[in-house]
Amino acid sequence: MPLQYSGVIAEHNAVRTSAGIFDVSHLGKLRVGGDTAARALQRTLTTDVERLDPGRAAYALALHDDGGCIDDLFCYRMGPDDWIVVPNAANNHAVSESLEACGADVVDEWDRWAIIAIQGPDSFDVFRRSWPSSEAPGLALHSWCSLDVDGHTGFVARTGYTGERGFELYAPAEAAGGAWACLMDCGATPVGLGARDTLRLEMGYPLYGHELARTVNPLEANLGWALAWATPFRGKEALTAVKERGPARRLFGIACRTRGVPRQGHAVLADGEPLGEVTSGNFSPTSGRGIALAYAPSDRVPSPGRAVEVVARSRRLEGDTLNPPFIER
Amino acid sequence: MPELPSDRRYTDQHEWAREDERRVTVGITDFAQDQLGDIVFVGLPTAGTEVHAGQPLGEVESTKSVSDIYSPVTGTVVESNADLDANPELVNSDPYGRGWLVILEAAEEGALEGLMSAEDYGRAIEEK
Repeated sequence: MPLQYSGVIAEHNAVRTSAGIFDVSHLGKLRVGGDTAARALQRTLTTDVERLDPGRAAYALALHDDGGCIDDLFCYRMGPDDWIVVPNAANNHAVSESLEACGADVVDEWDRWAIIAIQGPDSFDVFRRSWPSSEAPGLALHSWCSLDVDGHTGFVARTGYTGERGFELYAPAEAAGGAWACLMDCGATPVGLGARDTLRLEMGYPLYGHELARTVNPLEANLGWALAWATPFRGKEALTAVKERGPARRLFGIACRTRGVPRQGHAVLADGEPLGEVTSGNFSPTSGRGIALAYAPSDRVPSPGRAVEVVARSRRLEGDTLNPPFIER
Repeated sequence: MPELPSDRRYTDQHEWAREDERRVTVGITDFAQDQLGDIVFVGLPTAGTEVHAGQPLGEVESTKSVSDIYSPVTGTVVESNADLDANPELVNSDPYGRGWLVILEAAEEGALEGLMSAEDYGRAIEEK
């Protein structure tokens, strides 16, 4: 996936106002099947995989025993004893290891599937023009159905990571080039990694290596909603203790008033005193200002609307705290 | 191959400088804007600021990164391009024209003599 095709801002705006396509085939694709699968997944992932019906998908975390994040990912239930887990590329191996340690039979299907995300307000029109007979536009959010991709069987899901409506197409590798060309012909704009990052950041979605890490637990990252407490997920014991005493730090958003761009690693100040550190920052093309996600000690996380400063090299950027998303939805 | 006007000189940090009497207009090259990607903010010194050849003059922020702009000459800032406040993308769309950054009053005559010709700069970026 290139950083950009035509330019980050034009690509970003295409997704917010029309339709963009992303080649996210670098993501991991782990097939987990057989009679050990459900049990192993229930232990490895924080979502309730057994209550996930075939045809459905869910966002989940994979955690270490201490509650630190191995990865955040999507999990698709393909059949009664068949799931596909889609980790970040860099964490594919670690997620696979955790699954196997929990007793799963894992097949790495990385080179079998290309993944094309189709996102934006016009994504349904683009999809319908590309596959007129598919029932996918009628799917509920986080559902999937099979799709005939030029004679090869793939599937398409109502998932994505941009904040816009859309799909993620899992095309057999041999049919991927044709699918991409077809989507382009039907009016989609190709979008690179740069805009993928500004789009997810405007929504306040976490990215592993920034907001999520080995040393960060999901309660700190405001991801408590992704934890199915009734299931025996790995890390639950540690997180139960964190829940009782409250997380040590918490993620929050900053929107800059000063013209400038906060970046990962920049210090955040409140009343001139160190408060925390930016984990992701960039220019928000939709709102025309610098935006950032940052961590601060929980007892010092400012309430929304509070003035803070970001130390961007030699300059101090004035901003206000907020609970993401950074744009109106 | 990016366009390279021959009416000006170039630095190895990818700035251009065009002299008119002692007034030197400074910008960044087409190669530089292309490498930076979409420019979203430009930070420039105010009129009267003294700048030194090879020292940071300001900064450009793109969706990718922040980069210093180095002054090609020693002198005093006469004017900064106020259009860039509202339209920083002019640096991308017209780097040698409306996307100029500052006009300097050079401290000495012949301030551009040590800089590269269009031809030399063209060869330098071709090797990249």
